[in-house]
Amino acid sequence: MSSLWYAILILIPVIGGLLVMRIPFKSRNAMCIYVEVVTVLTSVLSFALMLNRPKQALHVLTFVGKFSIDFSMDGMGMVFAALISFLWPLATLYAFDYMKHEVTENSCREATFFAFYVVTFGVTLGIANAGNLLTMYVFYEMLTLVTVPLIIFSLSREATLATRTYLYYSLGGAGFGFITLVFLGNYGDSLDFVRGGILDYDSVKQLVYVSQSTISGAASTASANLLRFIYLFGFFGFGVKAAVCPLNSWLPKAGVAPTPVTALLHAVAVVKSGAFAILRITYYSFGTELLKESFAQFVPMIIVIFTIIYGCSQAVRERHIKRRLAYSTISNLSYILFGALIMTPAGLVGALSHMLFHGVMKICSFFCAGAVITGTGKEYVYELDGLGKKMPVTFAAFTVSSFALMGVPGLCGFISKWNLAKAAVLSDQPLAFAGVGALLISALLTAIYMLQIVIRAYFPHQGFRPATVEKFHDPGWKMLVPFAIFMILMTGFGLFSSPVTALLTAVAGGGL
Amino acid sequence: MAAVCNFPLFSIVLCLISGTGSAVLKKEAARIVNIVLITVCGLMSVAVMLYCAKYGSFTYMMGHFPAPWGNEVRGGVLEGFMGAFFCLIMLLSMLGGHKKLFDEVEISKHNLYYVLVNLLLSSLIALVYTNDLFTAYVFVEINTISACGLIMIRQTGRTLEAAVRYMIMSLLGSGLLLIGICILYDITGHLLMSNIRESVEALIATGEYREPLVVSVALMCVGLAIKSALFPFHAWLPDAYGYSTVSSAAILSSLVSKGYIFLLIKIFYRVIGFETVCGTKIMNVLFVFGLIAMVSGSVGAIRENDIRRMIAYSSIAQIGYIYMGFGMGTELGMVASIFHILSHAATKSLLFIAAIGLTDVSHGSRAFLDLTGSAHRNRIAGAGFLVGALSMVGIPLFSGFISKLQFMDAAGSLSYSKMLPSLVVLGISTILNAIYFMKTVLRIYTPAEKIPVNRAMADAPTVTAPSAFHVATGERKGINGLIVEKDRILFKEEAGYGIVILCFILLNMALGLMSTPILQAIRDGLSMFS
Repeated sequence: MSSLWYAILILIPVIGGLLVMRIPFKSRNAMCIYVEVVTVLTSVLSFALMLNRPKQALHVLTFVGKFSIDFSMDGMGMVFAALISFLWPLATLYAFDYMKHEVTENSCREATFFAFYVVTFGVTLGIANAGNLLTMYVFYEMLTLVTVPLIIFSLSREATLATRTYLYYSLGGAGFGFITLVFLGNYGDSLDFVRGGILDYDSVKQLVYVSQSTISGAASTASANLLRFIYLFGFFGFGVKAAVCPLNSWLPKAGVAPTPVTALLHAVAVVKSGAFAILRITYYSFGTELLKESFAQFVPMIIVIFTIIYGCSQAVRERHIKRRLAYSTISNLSYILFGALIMTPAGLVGALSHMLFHGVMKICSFFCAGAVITGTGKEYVYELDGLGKKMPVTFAAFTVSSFALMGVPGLCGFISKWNLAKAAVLSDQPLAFAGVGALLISALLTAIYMLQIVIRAYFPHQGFRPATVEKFHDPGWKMLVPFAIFMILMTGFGLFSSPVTALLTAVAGGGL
Repeated sequence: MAAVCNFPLFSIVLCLISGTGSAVLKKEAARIVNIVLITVCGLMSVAVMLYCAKYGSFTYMMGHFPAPWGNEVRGGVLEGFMGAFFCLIMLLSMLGGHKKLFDEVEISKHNLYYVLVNLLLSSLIALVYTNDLFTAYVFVEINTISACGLIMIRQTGRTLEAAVRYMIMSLLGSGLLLIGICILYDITGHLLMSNIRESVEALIATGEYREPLVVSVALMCVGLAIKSALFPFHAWLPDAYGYSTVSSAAILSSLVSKGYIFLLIKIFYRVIGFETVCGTKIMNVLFVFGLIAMVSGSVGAIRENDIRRMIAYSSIAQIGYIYMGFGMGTELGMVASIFHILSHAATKSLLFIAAIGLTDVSHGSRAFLDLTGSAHRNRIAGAGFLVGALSMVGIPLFSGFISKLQFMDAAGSLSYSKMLPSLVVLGISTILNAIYFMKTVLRIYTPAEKIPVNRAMADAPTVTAPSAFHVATGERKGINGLIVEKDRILFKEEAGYGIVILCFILLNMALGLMSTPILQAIRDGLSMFS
């Protein structure tokens, strides 16, 4: 296919989305059909592009020198694009039903919501298909901005505060990521993504000669250390969206957004683009050669291991369902980062597989939580008694996703955890072993916080009166279809994982 | 010698004549004269720039008298570009603020306002083109006086106080500048920039008068830093920008301070020599104060509850960026600073003009709470503010992004002791900018129905129940008597204002998207300086 399709792929949802606010739809249904058509069209086009990838990159414009906007699709971009292209139409379908409950009197706000929901799809595809670091950065900033109307949707005081926190964290983090980007522009051959890194060590050495007259032997270590330090800027800058521990407080707060947003953006698109950016700079810009076995690997790894445990234990403490799931996301995102920081191809396989599978598992559990919240109005874990029998499909999906998140064999979570643990053990680093321990502890804590909900729903406590839940029932088909698909996927990937793992191994090896 | 070489002098003289002439004109006539004047001067500067890009820089002797008696004007790519850019910003600021001017300034004083603006323009153009240090000083004074008048012409207590403060600080700055020039004249015996440069080089070679030279450079730096509100000398700025009429605020923030900074650049390059200046420790001092300004200006803006004063505080931070670029002491840093002069001029005047549109639809109140939803009531002003804010935060596609990129680029090639502080402060300053600008953007885009109930009750006892509030369709119903239908401004009602905002937005995006030729022009201009 011609490389112009990249531009079309991004423009369809962006323009199509903005038009939602302008087209005077006759009814809500008409708008829903239009939105779904645009989303599905984009997804189909995205998959078509993956199957016949254009030979050349698409060059759009040059800012200054090396800093230009280009699109192209490599293996890793493809994995991310596939994940979001698959989930977006399903999430949109779910949102049609969900938003009916959020919006009572006013259809304009809903049009705005769907407009930005679709635009965000285009922007996220821009991140996935970015051909160089600057393009990714540009879309990364855009993503921050276009998701603002989605988070602030309810316009309550809480939502405004959450949006502010989100903006400050994200824009500030991107500001630090930008430092990394400019450095790579200065001391790399180009900003393109090349497996193994783009650093130009000759110009790196010059940097030190210019800056201070060190003894020539110490020069290379000094400049390498500087670059490692700059990598830390990038890690924590982009790590804001991936909710690394001290920078995570925006994510649970953002749970005030409508569930389709929390589920799709705060479990998949936004947070995964943070993780994706870190994978990119680690493996495709700096290259693992430079970072491995240095403080640039150890410092983030300690923090990531801490975040894994921290996220889980906060989730155990939290009583609000959506916030509990948000803390669980924090912990699971650090799984991905842990895989990234192992800095071997196997580690990248682990990270990518958890990125894919966690996307499916977490969006499923969020959707279930959303169905419960809209269907029953109950938001806290202790209110869920006896709902399992009244909402059988919802809670079946929730149970499957709980088991998958715990890593029970036969479900997809097991595969990604296996890949991560295998990579950690093979890497032969003491810290990575500690990470395996953290994965185990985290599995235990996951079991506690997820199964607590499942058990409450199926086995209510003493003195429970069934009459209180009599009127509740499963949601409509628009919500049930995604549940069914997710359940099939979680089991399917769990039982027949070898093609996916083979694909990811090829991607991580730089073959795709 | 081509006719173009006369243009710099022509435009200065033209400004002076029309400045004096406007005193006897009627207000409409004065306004038209002013608009035509700015346009003509801008076009002349464009011609100078194109001419210099083709044939190189030129020096124009007034009356063909050589150095010790005559006065010189010099044209180059950067001078022409700056002159044209200043005229463009001034034109847009005047057009965007003229309606407000009629509300805020006494009728009898309108033509005086245009006198001041014309004189200000003459001084700006003179500062840009002059090749004589003493002429520069004279026009610095003219600039100060007219700027003071621009602040004071809206007569409220706050502006009077602000003008007095501005006057005192500015005159202190001019005094220091004058002492610096005197010392330089003492040790070199010249006032023409190119002659001083030769003598300074000779002095450096022989090693004579090192201390007086450093003192003179330091005094000129401090003098101009006070006038352009670098960090510890910024106390006059928030009131001066915050309470003067909007055209004045836009012009003061984006042009007046930039004129002084441009003079400082000329002193660095054409008078002393950039290497010599970098050899002294003065650059490090500027660097440190620049960094402090970036943080303290933003902190001041965060604490502010008045939109105009918030934008004014943000200027302090942006001036800090420019001085930080100087302080880097490299060519890259200088290019970044000059680009930031352009970017900040384009953005800050846009923010001021947009803010006035927002406050006008909020009953003139500038408190954040009253601005709630104002971007829906005046769409184009809201869009302008959004673009300005995004540009200031450094979002790609807008001009601020390119200046941030240039600063980071420049920081990357410094020694560690300067690199890390500048990188970290740039990062922190991004966060701080995001905090106050995004807070404001969210505020102005939050529909007004969310005004806290108790406040609505207090303001209007007869509150009707909050009814459907259709932002997109424009079916508005007053919910608390505070904001009603007639407050909403449509584009066609204020087409002139809307077009100005659109021009600003386009200018901003042009700087953001087509920066390569502009940066090239800056580099060419700097190489022509020496």
